[in-house]
Amino acid sequence: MTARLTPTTLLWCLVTLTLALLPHAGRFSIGLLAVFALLVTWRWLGAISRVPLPTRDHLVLWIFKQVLALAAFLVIYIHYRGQIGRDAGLALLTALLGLKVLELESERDVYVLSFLAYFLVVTNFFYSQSVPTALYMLAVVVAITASLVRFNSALETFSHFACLRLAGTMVAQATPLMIAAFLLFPRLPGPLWGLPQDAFSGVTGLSDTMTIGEITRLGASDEIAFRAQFDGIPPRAADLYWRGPVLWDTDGRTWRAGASGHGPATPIIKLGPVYAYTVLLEPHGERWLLGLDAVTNVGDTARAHADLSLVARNPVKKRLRYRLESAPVYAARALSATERAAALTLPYARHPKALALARQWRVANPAPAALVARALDYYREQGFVYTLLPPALPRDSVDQFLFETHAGFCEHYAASFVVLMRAAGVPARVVTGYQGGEFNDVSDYLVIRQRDAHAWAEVYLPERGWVRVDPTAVVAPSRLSLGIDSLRTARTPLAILDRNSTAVAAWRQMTALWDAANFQWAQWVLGYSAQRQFALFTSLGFDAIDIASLMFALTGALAILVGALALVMFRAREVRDPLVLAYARFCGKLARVGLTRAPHEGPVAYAERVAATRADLSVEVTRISQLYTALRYAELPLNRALLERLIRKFKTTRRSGG
Amino acid sequence: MQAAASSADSSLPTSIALGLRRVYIVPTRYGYLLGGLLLIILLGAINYDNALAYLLCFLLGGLSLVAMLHTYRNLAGLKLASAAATPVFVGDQAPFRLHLESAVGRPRSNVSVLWVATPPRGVVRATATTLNLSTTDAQATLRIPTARRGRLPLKRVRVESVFPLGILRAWAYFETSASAVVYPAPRGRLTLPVSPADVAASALGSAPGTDDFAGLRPYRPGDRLAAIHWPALAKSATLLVKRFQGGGEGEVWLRWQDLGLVPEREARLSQLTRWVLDAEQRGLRYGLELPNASLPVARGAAHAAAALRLLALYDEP
Repeated sequence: MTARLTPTTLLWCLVTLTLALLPHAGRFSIGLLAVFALLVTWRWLGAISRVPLPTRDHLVLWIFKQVLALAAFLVIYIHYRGQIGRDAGLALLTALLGLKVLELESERDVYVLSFLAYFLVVTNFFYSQSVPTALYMLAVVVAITASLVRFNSALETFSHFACLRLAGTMVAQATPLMIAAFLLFPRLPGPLWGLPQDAFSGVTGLSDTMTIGEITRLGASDEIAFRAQFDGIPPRAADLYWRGPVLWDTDGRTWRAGASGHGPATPIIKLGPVYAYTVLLEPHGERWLLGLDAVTNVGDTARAHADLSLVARNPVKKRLRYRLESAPVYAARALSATERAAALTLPYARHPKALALARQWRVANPAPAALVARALDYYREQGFVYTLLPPALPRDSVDQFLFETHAGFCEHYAASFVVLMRAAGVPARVVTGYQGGEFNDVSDYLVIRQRDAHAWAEVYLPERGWVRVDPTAVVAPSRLSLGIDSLRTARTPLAILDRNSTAVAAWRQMTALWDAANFQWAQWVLGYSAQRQFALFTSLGFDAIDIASLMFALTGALAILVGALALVMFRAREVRDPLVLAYARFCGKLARVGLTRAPHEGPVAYAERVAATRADLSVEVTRISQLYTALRYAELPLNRALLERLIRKFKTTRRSGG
Repeated sequence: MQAAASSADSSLPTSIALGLRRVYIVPTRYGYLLGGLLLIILLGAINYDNALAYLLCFLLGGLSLVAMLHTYRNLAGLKLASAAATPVFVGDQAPFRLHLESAVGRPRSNVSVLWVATPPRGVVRATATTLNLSTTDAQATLRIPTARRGRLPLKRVRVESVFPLGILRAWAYFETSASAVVYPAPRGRLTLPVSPADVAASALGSAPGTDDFAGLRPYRPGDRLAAIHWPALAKSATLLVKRFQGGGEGEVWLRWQDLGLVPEREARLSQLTRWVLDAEQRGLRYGLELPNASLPVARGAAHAAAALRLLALYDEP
């Protein structure tokens, strides 16, 4: 049963392995990739030409291979500083695979490498679980399976296409089983063991510190921060302030959340309609959550702080779904002594010009509301502009912004406004989060991207409590009504087109569709958790869902699906070829005159025997047999109807000369 | 021995379509390896709560179940249309020719046909041949070693396949009544028992040759001196001449009781076998006489086959 490794089988192995590794190309150093490519090429050349492989027969090459292996492991160890995390593990696996490819020779090697290729597919999922990744990997799985089919079809009689077709069929047949297992396999909450340290490296997003200039990067990112699906009609765009971390403390340059606002939450007063919605938050590795300002019901996933910011119990390391209720029009009157102190604190000896200006205003009119209006007027009158590419502020950032450059984006406005307010004696804080969102018509939800990140200010007015003030809105009102897109048109490729043209509309429709697909994917596939499984089966009317009953259901579902597939597969084949039936009729006619076809006799041998006994029939019998053989075995494009007609007319009664 | 025709009953076609319940299927060691890998992927999927890792694990698991159906289908409905073997001598391999048919007209890939001897110690995979029934029927020849004369029943033929993924092995047995006749090994140093009477009877038609010693005959004028059998002259004072043959017409009886000097039964049969072959080769007409059966004097391939068959099956139940 041992199959020989032919060059084509080898090529199948090498190609599928490379396909599985391809998406990793950007994820580790180019050197490792080069070594892998070298090893694969070397093995391939060894198969098709006289290039020697590093077997024990070529001692020098063999030693070279050992040295290469040692060097690879050393380099990986040093590069990743001995940390066995996700990246280092992948690098090690790649190096091992490359070395294993060189040894690829026996039947066992083919299986081991094919299975490792399957494993390599999984490693991709720890970097990306997007729809394109899934589709690409599905194709890779078909290719690996086809490679196994090719290896197992004796003498390689299967064409490349036939291998792919059979593998594709099998994968398609396995899909219902996969879906059943995915839905029914009992999900456990929480990991079995710790996650590697680098599991969430490179995740971008809002952070709970703000240094002027940092949100510029977010402004350019199309990555999705979260999605929100409202139970009814969503609030209007100007009310879509998604509250994130609230920043209290500053050293004059960087703002931090601090602990001042982390006291127990006090209830707020709803002054308008309440919206219920579900948030699907992309993982960002931190604990804070986002909610529409201001959240009135935090549900069971989130916890609210006194400053109305939300946090989760654990860092958000995977996509998180939670439900909230919010009232966009509200009053928050609570202000503790600690909070008041924190909301008035300014760093020592910073922003002297701003402080002087604020004191000047306070002398003119100490009423807090008047001070807020005065500050906003200042932005309006002094010709401030909104830009995503502000000039550098190397010295005192607030003073430079307020008195020299007059150009910046939301962070600059929010930070400088809070400094002015605190200097004037009005308690103020910076709130970060997102503003707006793009409505997806296809699936009725809002997509909030990283570029929607925003920062605004809140001031405490004695008669009204905490009041949101968004100084950015004063300089760039469209930033809020149209979203940040309106300010970025000059930089997008579609800018030359009219915003309302059909092309733009079509493009928008397409992106909406694509994102809707992604949303469903994220909701139903990636976000399918123990909680969701429970919810699904409860909604179907099952109340007591435990591991045993799920396993029982899973076994039953698999048995039914396999049985159904078997039924289809075996029934379909019972239909006999009309050609075979016609030939059987022909044999039957001859059998009636004593020329029965022996079970071991092929059509040709049979025809020869008949022709030898009945010379009168030889011409016809030979013709029918030749036609039958050609049609059936060579599958030549000949006339089937002709054969059937010949057989129908065939008579055994004729005698030569009679 | 190539000339010996296959005996009638060993070529009886046996046709048994493999029933659905008769195909056995178990994972190969690579199947277990894949199972281990799936377990690792599943643990990873659970730990990292990675939906796509779950999906891949379940897809490959589903693929294994689907492969079970495909592997099974590769054997199910296969028919052993006929099995027959030509006779051989002890020590040679009996070539059983098997004709396999795909009963439902469906091509098969990579089907191994094997014969498994079952001696007391485990299973011995004697011989295997791999087939591709791409044209819905195929021939295979199993060469089965022989150790003793008599009838060698094939009993069971095993067909197996790991197609398409190599992770599962399906197998099934054909029970067959086909058997091969195994002739005794031609052995023994005794020369053909050519009696004077036989010689006389055959003298007329024999075409003298110089190759093989074929017996003695009375001296006739003109015979070479070198051909005179001097020891016979010394014993009986008759002038006998050594007769050589390149294809003669002599007649000889090969008798069990003539072999009193050979006490052992199998050795006697071997000697008789030797004689049958020798007689046939020389073109002699010969008869065979065994304690329980006899064959009249005749010549030719069919006669030799009948004689050898008698010897092979002597005292067989």
